[in-house]
Amino acid sequence: MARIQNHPTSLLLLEGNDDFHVIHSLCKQSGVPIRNLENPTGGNFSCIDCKGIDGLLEQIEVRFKSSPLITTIGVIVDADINLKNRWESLKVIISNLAFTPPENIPPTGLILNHQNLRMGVWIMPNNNLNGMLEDFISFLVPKDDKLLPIVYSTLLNIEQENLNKYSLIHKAKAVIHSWLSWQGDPGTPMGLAITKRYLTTDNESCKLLINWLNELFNR
Amino acid sequence: MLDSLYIKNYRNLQALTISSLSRVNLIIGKNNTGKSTILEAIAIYASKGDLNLIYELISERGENFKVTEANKNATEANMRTFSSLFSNRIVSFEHEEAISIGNVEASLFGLQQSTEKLISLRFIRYFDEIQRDSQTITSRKRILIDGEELNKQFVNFKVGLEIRVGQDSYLLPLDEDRPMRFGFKGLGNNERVQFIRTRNIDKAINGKLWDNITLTEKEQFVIDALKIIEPSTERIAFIEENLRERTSVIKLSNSNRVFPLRSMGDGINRILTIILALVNSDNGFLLIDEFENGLHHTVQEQLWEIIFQLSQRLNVQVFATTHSEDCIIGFENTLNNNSNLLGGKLIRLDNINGIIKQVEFNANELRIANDYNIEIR
Repeated sequence: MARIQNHPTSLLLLEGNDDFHVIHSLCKQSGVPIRNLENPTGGNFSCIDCKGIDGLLEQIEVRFKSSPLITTIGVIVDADINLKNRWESLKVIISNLAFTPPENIPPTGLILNHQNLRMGVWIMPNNNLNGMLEDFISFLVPKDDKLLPIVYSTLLNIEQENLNKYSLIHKAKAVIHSWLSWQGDPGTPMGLAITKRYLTTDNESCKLLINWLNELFNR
Repeated sequence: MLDSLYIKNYRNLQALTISSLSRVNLIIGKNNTGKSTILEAIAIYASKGDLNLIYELISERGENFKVTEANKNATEANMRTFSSLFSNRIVSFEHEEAISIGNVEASLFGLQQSTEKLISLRFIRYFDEIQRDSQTITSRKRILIDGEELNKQFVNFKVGLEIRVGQDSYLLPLDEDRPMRFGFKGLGNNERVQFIRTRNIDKAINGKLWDNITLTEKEQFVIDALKIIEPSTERIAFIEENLRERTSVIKLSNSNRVFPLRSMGDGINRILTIILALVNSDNGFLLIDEFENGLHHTVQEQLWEIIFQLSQRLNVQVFATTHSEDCIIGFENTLNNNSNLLGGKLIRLDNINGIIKQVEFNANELRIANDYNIEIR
């Protein structure tokens, strides 16, 4: 297996495999330099799939300590059902690392500096709403799309007849995967749907995320 | 036991603070980050400034300069010798440039050096004033140049090395050629400390350490440890090889003969050295430089287990250094697999533009690094 060369100085911690692919596609599309197997020596940061929110939160501090070369760590997490709770638990971790977090997370994403260290936080979908990666992806559906309203009404019908097997917490997943299954290549994963341009990247939230990545890792 | 460590101006450790220490502490880091230097500093601290130990540490690095035909100035040679202990080999009479080694305590201003048990070493200028009390009795009074007079110019002063522990101090005059043994063996009750250097398997020392524990339960601890490598170990003994040397022999359960231990390879001899040192450091310190020397990776984890258990039982605080990944893995596994064995810590030293900085990992952080495959070496 090819190995990523050199010790990266910056890391982006992600909750799962889907996030990993979405971020890679977004960066590729928007020209944000990222270090990966295709670009093993360049790029400004490497992504790490932490396999779950608990693992992600648990390893932030150890990642900072893992090497004196690590100067910047960004995290992208889902707000899930309670943005405020997610933010509060992040604030504790951030404070323990000697950064000074603001009362609320800025809508543009958070970037903090302390001595020569830098830390960034983005809470999906947009630092402002409850939800998850799939909500963010639904923002990327083109504005004039005709299928998305049909997805919503279809799901509503199913729910009204109690035929849905998904819990309502995961409705965003049902929405985006239904929509993706109706595209030219049914079943295209979210990351690839960005590359194939089923999804657009000119949405406001998407631009903010790209800006946050650039500002956090380009220095 | 040291709960934390502060080292200032000792060799390449200009200002190192380790905020908390554990019972068993493993120190890692690239070359020239001061791993062995920390062990030396702890040895000096534990010995309360024993000059024989200090001189041995200097001699090991070949920094013991002697009076020569060309340069008969003993003060110069001695200053050069002892300056090798100080960061950047600085000779200074300022308090700021003194070597200090001790623990830290939390105060209003954050972590501060604790003064109570702190040991410090400093060059000092002084005069010997001869006082004639009567025709026949004279007394010598030592006047130190200190405080406000530090900045003044003096002539004809003498130079000494001041060793200070808390309120007590000792002055070693540097104008004399060094004696064979120093009479000064530290200020106050020194704690027990065993220092296993990279390459010393000193038979004479091991024989003496064995004598100390003969017919105690500690004999069995040593036998148990040797079983890691040779499971049929039954007994060991030290026998006289010649008038000056004794050598260790081993009796195995499946044979009537005894064998010299040195015929059985480096590993078993290294374990003997480590365990003998450990069982001779009750209530003190065990310092092991390059833990992995001579040890196959499969035995390192078992040896850690024994060290964790015995150090707890005998109240020994252990500091070890290593370059070996296997050694670190063995250490982590021992810590993670035995929830009843608390008290292990990994300390990584990094050289950042000439300044040595420490990064501390407690047991939980080591588990996280292990669980998520995070490289911390």
